[in-house]
Formats: sequence, C-alpha cells, structure tokens
Amino acid sequence: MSVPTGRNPMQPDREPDPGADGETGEFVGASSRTGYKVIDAIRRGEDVEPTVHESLRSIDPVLEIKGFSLWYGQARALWDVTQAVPRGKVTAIIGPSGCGKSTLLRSVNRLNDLIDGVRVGGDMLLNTEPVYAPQVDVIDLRKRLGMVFQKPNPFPMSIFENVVYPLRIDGERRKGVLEEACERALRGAAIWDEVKDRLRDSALGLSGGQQQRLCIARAIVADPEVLLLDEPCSALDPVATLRIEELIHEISARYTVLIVTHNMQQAARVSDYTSFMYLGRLVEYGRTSDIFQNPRLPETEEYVTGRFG
Amino acid sequence: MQDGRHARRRTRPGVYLWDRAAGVVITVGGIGVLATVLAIGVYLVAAVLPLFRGGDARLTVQGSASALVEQGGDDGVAGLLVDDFGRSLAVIGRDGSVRVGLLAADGGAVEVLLEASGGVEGTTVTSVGFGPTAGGAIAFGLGDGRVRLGEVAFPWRLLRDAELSEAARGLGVGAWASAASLGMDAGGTGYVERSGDREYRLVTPTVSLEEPAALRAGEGAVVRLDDQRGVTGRRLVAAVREDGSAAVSQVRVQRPLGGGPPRVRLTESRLEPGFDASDLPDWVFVTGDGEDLFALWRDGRLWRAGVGEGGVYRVAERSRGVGEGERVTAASMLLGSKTLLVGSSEGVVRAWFAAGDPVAGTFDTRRLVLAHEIGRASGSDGVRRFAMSPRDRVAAVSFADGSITLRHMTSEKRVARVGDRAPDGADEHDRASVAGVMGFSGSGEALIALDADGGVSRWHVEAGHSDAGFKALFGRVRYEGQTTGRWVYQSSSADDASEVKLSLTPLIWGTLKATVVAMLFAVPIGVLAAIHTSEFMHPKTHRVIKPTLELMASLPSVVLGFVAAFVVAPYMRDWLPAVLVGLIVVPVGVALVATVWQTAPSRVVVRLRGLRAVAAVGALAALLAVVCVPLGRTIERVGFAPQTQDLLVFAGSYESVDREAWPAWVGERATMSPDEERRLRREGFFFREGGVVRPVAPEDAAAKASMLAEVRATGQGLPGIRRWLDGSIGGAMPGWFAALVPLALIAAWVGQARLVGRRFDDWAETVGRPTAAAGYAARSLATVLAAMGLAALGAWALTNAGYDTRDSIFGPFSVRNTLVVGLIMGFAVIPIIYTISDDALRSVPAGLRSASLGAGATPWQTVRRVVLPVAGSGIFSACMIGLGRAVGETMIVLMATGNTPEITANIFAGFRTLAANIAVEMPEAARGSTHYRALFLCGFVLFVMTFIINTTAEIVRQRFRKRNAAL
Repeated sequence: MSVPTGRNPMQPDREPDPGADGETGEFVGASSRTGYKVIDAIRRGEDVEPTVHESLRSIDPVLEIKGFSLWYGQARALWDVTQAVPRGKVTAIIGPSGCGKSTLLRSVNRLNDLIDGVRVGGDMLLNTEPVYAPQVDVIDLRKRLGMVFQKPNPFPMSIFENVVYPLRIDGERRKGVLEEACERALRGAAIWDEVKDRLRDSALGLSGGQQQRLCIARAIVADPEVLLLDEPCSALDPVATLRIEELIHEISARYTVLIVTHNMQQAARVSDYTSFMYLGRLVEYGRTSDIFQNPRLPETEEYVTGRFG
Repeated sequence: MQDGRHARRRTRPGVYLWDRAAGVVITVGGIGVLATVLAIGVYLVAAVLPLFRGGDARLTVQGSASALVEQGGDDGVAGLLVDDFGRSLAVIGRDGSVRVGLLAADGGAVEVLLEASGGVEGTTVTSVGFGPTAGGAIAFGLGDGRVRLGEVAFPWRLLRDAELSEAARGLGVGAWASAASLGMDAGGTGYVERSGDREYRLVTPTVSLEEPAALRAGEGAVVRLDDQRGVTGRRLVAAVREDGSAAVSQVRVQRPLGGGPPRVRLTESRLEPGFDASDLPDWVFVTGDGEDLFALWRDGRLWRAGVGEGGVYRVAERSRGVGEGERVTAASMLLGSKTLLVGSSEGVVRAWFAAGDPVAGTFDTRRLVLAHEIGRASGSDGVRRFAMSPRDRVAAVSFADGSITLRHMTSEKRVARVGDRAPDGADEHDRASVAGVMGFSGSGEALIALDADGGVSRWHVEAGHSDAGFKALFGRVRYEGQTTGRWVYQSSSADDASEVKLSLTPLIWGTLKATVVAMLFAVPIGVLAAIHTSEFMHPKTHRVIKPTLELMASLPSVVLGFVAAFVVAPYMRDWLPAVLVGLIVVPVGVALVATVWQTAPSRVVVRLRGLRAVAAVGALAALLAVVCVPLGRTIERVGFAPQTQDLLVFAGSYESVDREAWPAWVGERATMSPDEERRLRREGFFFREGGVVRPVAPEDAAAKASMLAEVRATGQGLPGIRRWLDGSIGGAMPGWFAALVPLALIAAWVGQARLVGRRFDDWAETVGRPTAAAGYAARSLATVLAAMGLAALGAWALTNAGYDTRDSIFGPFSVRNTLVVGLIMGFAVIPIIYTISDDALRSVPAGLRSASLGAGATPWQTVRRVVLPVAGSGIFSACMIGLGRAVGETMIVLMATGNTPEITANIFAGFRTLAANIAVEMPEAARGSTHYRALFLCGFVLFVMTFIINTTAEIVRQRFRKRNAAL
C-alpha cells in the first residue's frame, strides 16, 4: 500500500467557524469545573466510559469503530472512540465544535491520511474488513464509501460527468452503463427532474442546494457501503436544507448514512441514532428519540436542549 | 463620557490631505505609465514607417538647354554627366561632342562653360561608350578603328575669402553663377555657389581626353562601345567593329617618366567568333569584373559571352532580354557594373545578371538570371532611357510618354514618379517633351533631364529609404550573383554598389527557432515540476524547493549566456554523443526505474518520500548521465562510423565515373558543399578533384580487409558524430533513428495503452501487488523496447526512401548552436513557468481534490481529471509568459549562438534573433539610416510577436476564468 504523501488538499472544512454559530466549543460560562461529572472528568483528561444505550446492543453494524484514537502531531483529537454504526440507518454525530466529529467521519474513508503528521490508533471495521490494516489499499477503501462535504464541491464539468465521475475513474466507458447509473443516482438524489434536460451543462450553473444534491448523487452512484455526510447543509439556506433533509430520509431506505451535524434539530429530524461527542470522546450514544427526549446523562440533556453549546 | 455621551470621532485634516495627495500621485503615475507605453509604441511606429514610404522628387529648376543640344532633340545625345551638386551638366553627343553647361538658377538658358570633342582629325566618332556608373568616364569609338578614352570631371573646392569678387559676395545663399559672370578668374571655366552663409565653393568642370589607341582585332569603325569600371577601379572597354569582331580591352594608362602625353594601352580579349557583320548587336556591355560580355539587339535577343580557355570570350548563352513580342528600347548597366537593365517597348524593366550555376549547361557554368521584372507603370509607354544613381541602386527610367520613374532595383520600390504631374500648378510641365536623356548628380540627390525640344529640368530627389520596403524586408530577393531568391540579412556592405540585404525573415526564423527549442525543454520540465511539487510533494519539501527554483529566475541572463557559451557549448562539442544520448536516456531511464521501483516492497517504497525522493531522482539522473558517456561512445562507434564505401574512398581506392553517368544536378564544378557531397554519397558516388568517382573494392578479400583496417587506423576512418553531421561519413539511418526515438516512445506508449491497457489492468486486478507491479515494470520495458524497434523500422524505411535528417533537423555542427541555446534558455524560462503553474495549481479549491479523492480517485487521476482542467488556464498563461520571455531574451542568444542569420532547421546550427540583432548592431547603425530603422523594425516585429503571445494568453486566461468563476 502506498500512502500518497501529498500536501493535504483538504485541511480546511474541518469545523465551521465557531463564532459564526455562536458556538464557543465550551459550555456556557466555561470554567474548569462545570458541575457535570462526565464533562469534568473529560476535561481533567480522565478516561470516561461512554454511555451506550441498550438499544444498540442488538444492531447489525456496517461499520464498527473500535478504540479509535487520532493525533494531529502532538495534539490528540480522538480518544478511544468505540461506536457501531447500524446498517441501513441514519446515524448522526453531534457535539460542540472541535469535539472531533468531523475528524471521526473523515477517518472512516482515511482522508485524514493526507494531513501532515496524522497518527492513528485502534481500528475500524467496514463490513468486518479492517480499514487501517497495512495491506488495505486506501483508494479501494474510498471506492466503497461515498462522501459529501460541507460545501458543495461539484467539479467544473457537465452534470453528467460529475455524477459518473466515480465510474469513470474506475475505467467504465460504456455509455449505456454510465447513463443508466447517472439517471439512477440523480433520481436517488431527487434532482433528476430538475436537471434531466441539461445534463450536458456545467454543474457550476446549479444553485447551492442543487449542487449539494448533485454531490449526493455523485456519492451514491457507485453504491457505497456507507454514505458519509459531513455537515452537508451548513452552507445552504433553510429551504435547500429542508430538501436535503428530506433526501437523507429517502436515501436511508437504501443506504447506511453517517452524518455529522451541529444542528441538533437536524439530527433529531433525520437520524435514527445519535451519538454525542465531546472533546474527542464519545459521551452518549443511543436512539435519536432517546438522546433527545430521554438522555441518560444530564450533560447530554443540557446540550440537546441548547442550554449550552 | 461622564454624562454617558460618546466623544465625537474626528478624522484629522492631515489624513484627508494625504488621501488626496496619494490619489493624485497614483493617478498621475498610472496615466504616466500608460502614456509612456503608448508613446514608446507611437515612436516605434514612427521610426519604422519611413521604411515603407517612397521618396520624393521636387522640380527645382527648369530652363532651356538649346545651347547644349543640337537641333533634333535628345536623340543625338549619348548621355549626361552631372556634377556632385546638380548645377552643371556635361552633354555627351553621339558625334563625340562634349558640352558642359551651367543651369540658370532662375530658369533661364543654360550657359555653356566648356566645349570639347572626342573626335580626331581625319575621322569621325562612330560610337560612344558611356558608363553612367563609371564616374565620369567616357570612351569614343572612331571610324578608323581606334578608341579614344576620356573623362569628364567636376572637381570642386571651397574658396578663400580673398579670392571672392564683389559680385560673388553679392550672391544669395544657395545661388550660383559662372565664375566669368562674377568677374572671377578661377583658373579656368567654372561656377561659384554660395553654399552657406560664409561658404563659397568653386566647381571647375574639366574634360580630359587621352590619345586614341588602336584596337588590334577586326576591321573598320568601332560601332559599339561600352566603358565600365569594376569595383577594383579597373577600367574595361568593350568594342564591336564594323566587321563584327568584338573584344574586351583592359585599359592601362602609362605616363612616361620624362613627361609627355600619357599613352593608353589596351590589353584585348577577343570574342571568338565575332558577330555577324550584317547583324551587329545594338548594345554591348561588359561587367565590371570582366566575367561577362552582354550583347543586346533591339529585337530582344540577349547573348552572354563568358571567358573561356585562353582568355577568349565565347558566347555562352543565347537568350531573350525581353518578353515575346517586345522590343528592347533602352539598356544600361546598374551601379556596380554587374546587373544589366533592359527596358522594353512595353514599358517593362528587367534586371539581368549572370550567376554561377553548376547545372547551367554553359561552358563557364554561369547563366543569365532574371533578377527583377518590373511591370509597366499604368499609363506609361515604352522605356526611353535609363540613368543610374552613382550612390545607390536607384535607377531613373524615362518613358515615351514623358514620365520618369525612380526605382530602387533591389527592393523594387518606387522612389518617386515625376513628369506626369505639375510640380506646383503654375509650372505645368509639357509631358510630351519632358524626359529624354537623364543624369544623376554625384550625390544622387539631383536628377537632370533634357527634353526633346531643348528644355532642361532639374529635380531634387529625396530617395528616402529606397533600399527597404515590404518585399526587401520580408520577401525573397534575388541578390546579385544568386540564381534563386533568398532571405538574406547582411546589413553592412563593402561599398555603395553592393546590395544591402535587410530581410528580417532569417531573424524572425531565428527567434522562433530559439523559442521553440527552449520551450520544448522548459514546458515539460516546468509544468511537471509544478504538478509534482504542488500535488505530490510533502509541504515541507515544497517550501524549500519553490524558493530555490524561483531563485533561478533571478540569475542574470548574461550569466546564463556566459555559462552557455563557455561551459555548455564546449562541453557539448567535446561530449556530443553523450549529450545526445543523455537527452533521451535520462528521462526515459528515470521513468523506467520509477516503474521498476514499484515492484519493491511497500515498506521500502514508502520510505522514499519528500526530499529523499528528490535526491534519489537526482542521483539516478546523475548516474544515468554518467552511463551515457560510454553509451554515447558505443553508439557513436556503431552508428556514426564511416561506411565501407567511405573507407574505400579514403583509402584512395576509387575510379572516376563517365561524364554521362554523373547525376544531372552535379553539372560542372570544381568544389562541392558538404550538403551536395552528402547528396552525391547517397547516390553511391563521391566527389574527388572536381570529378565524380565511385569506390572500388579490391578483388581480394584479404587485401580489402587490410586496406579497410589501415584506413580505420587513421583519423579519417574513425567514427565521429560531428563528421557524420557534416555529411562526410555514414548513412542516413542513425540520424533517423535518433530523431524518431522520441516520437516512437510516444507512439508506443499510446499504442500499448490502446491495445493492451484495459486487459492488462483487468489482469493486474486479479493478481497480487508484487506481481502486478512486476507486470507494469515489464510492460514499461517492453514499451521502450518496442519504441526502439519502431524507431529503427521507421529509420530504415525513411532511409531507403532516400530521405536524410541531415537535410533538415541535423546538419553541420557549430559549437554555439541551437541546442545549447535551447537548453540554457529553457533553464532561464523554467522558473517562470514553474512558479506561475505552481500558483495556478495551488489555487485550485481544495474541496475539488477532497471530492475526487473521496470518490476513490488516485492522486494522479485527481490531477489529470480535476486539478489540471481547472488549473489549465493558469498553466497555459505560465507557458505563454515563458514564451514571451524566450522571444525577447537577448543576452543568452547573443552570447551562445554564432549570431549567423541563416534559415535552417538544423539544431546544430547557429541563428540570430531579432533581439540579439538589435543588441549587436545598434551601436553601429547611423541614426536615421535605413539600417537604424530596420533595427527599429526588428524591435517592432518583436513587440508585435510578444503582443500576440501575451494577448492570446490573456484571452485564454479570461475565458477559463469565466468558466471557473463559480468555483
């Protein structure tokens, strides 16, 4: 396996600007002691056992994260995260800025490899196959996953070429196959009716929301095992956000979705399961309904009700 | 603050002042820059435009010349000679009379200053030899078969104040009068002109006549005569006598030591056989070098006689000087006494000269060349007379309708046209009577013409830049002595008579050649380096590499030029085989090793990254370069050795070939150029001692072997790439092979990707990584080998088809050649291309890369499919800016080429670029001269070229920018 050693092309879009959303990354009135047991323990750097609900005991995991840790140089970003992502469901990761939720997501398709000085510990299993074993071909691994980024990033090509890009790089040249896959993906991303007459037009002419749905179409065209969504609505207006959320709901019928968001309402609306992370640690993980209405930890309750964060 | 109100914030007045001052300064500066650039452009155009404009002729004096011309008009006049200033003229009559007259400044009658006669008691003058370019020399042919030489001179000097008479002091500035009328005894007849405020000059025309000298050849009167002076000052007289015999005589004037009259000695070279007495030519001319004798008949026949064995002239060619149905109406030699101008009854002027041509089929291997043919000017009739400027190659042509055209006979540019328009309304000129016989003043600035009815006119001629013009500056021109039209740049010449050759085409060619070769090196290296550092290199390494490369750009080009001329060029001369081999082996070898390297275990592969990888590639390249030295030697020995036939000829084992079996193009010649010799060798022949020979092998194999071994031991028999380039040894095959290898590599690569690429990829997926990597390495090796095979096959086919690279991209080796310049200028351009490309690549949004990599693309796929299309415009402008720099680059090409303005594709030849030309010649160009303006034209052409390049770059960039605006 040869890990490309380029300069990292994607270091940005890790977390949105905290100031913009009023998020500080700290609890309100942050001080070293907050009165919350788990949070304080985390701040002290102690190992904290995450609170995982029983509802997750019996699931069929498509992705298992096992004791995963990650360092950016000397700085540790993830601490022994262990989490099983259920097959065919939407799992949301929430948490304040800088809690490592995006890092965790990007670790799944190993985009973090490209960042200078990243080290990892632990492992992940994608459909029981290790993600971080030495013999793994990163490129092949990424072909099994689809990813959508914060900012819509269509290529400066036609809509058609954008959608079939993953197939093109695999050497697919048959026109029929490409066209069929394109239509399927665009229908899957609920944008077919809007663009079917202008597939040859540049994708850059689409609106932000359309572009993001196009990116979703591109991510699902090659039938990924897991669809990774990294705050897909954070750069969109409310109407576009709504459409994407509806789309995620539809897609979840066919794909496993792992979505990072710091919009709690969004997590509540679209996801089946929700995990709450704080300072690189998994704090609580359970059914979305449980997390939002009946969390085990007071910290989680405070966070999801917006009393801090 | 205490009462809760905030203090009002104020902007201090000084701030406003600075604001306004800065605004003014910036505006002035900006407008100033624009204005300056515009002014430079305007100045360039203004300096260049006169080159394309004609001159002007202004009628200054008109008067009556009846005192000089007998009744019957100008038909009785053989020609005119004019002094340096165009004030006095000598009319030479066909009857031998010489009358010198002074123009009247106010348009009155010409005052006769002097009269003389070329005739001798007891006989008549039967012909006048009158070389208008011979500096006042005239010759009279006499009825008794003698020739009398003479000279009309117009010596002048400035007068001292004491010599002036009162009347002379009363002259206005620019006015003149005869010395006699001013009451001055100036030691002979003459005139005084007040040429400046306190400057008076005296011109005293003289007519000197030698004693007649007898011609030995033939009988009867001398009926045709020509008198020419060559560039060496030797005077030649061609004469035809009544019985048709003709001779060219070299004139020597002996002045006896003890005083007494000088005696004229004629050394005759006869024409054998002479002309038919009943069909004598109407004109004869001899060239200044005596090589050719032209005979011309009114019916159009033009014969050329050359010097044959025993110094005897023999007719070499019988041709026509004018078109079918046209008659010859006038003829004269042009300045330099090489080119014959023939005017026809249709008003067409043709310029003929003789030039050496091995296949001319004539005994002296020369032939007549029609150098220029200038069609009739609209409305003009047949040509009546010529007059030649003694300063340049301008000829005045008078037509039967009374108009006169002044034309430069090299550039074919019309300088002026007079006689068909009134100079200033009041002075309406009578067209029918104007322009009989004409003469230029010694300075070439005045043209004087006699009318048929005894009138005389004087024009002031501003020739302008008559030797330049669109055709002369860019087109092919047949220069004297050349059988074909050529593009020649040769700005300096020995004397006024030589043609100035100012074709910019060789310079434009040189500029393009240098640029193309430099870009061939710079673009791949610069762009690939940028892709590598921005997309694949560790950021830490990138931070070191980029400034280093940018530092290269700050190297003064004079240093690079110095390195090119004194390091690279001698190195290339000494190690030519290694350098040539290295140009192919190093890149291909690095690529091959890189693929083979992939077969190594991942653990090892991963370790080589960052600076270490760069160092490894550098070391590999250096190692390959070292390997190229013995490899080059081997290749030289194998490919560029003399062939057996070469060796046999070197050993002296050859036989001469029958004349009939010679290739037709060889013709008759004493020497052969390397190119021609190579051409001959290709046909299996050699050229030795002026003849075609064919190698003969000894019957005995052992004798042959020992002979070959003996020659091989000598210097001649040794292999040598430079001797191969000269064309003296070896066949075409190795050259084709070398030239085809790069193309074959590309073709083989594309071919294998098309043929087996997909299947191979499918196979590679089914096997393990080491096997697949080995497969890829094997495939690369096989591709290279296939390319070699392909190149060999192509070389074989092209060689057998009779083509040779030494006719085009290869050729004789000069030390400072295109390849050296290309390499060094490439290195001068690389930093620019690299930096701008790198910036363009880095400005590609990171999100696109993430999207592509996240979709499972490899970094290279990402680069190729996403990054390059986005950064393409930036890379394109990088290349164009590099191109702009290469086009305008001066010092490197100045120092590292021989600055020879030649048009050849040979990469081992020198060249001269526009920029280098300006740098070389500007110091020696006289301000305002044609040469000076031609250099400005070089600058203007350069400006246009860079303008086109930069504009193209900008348009492309804008288009891409618009396309990618949404990113």
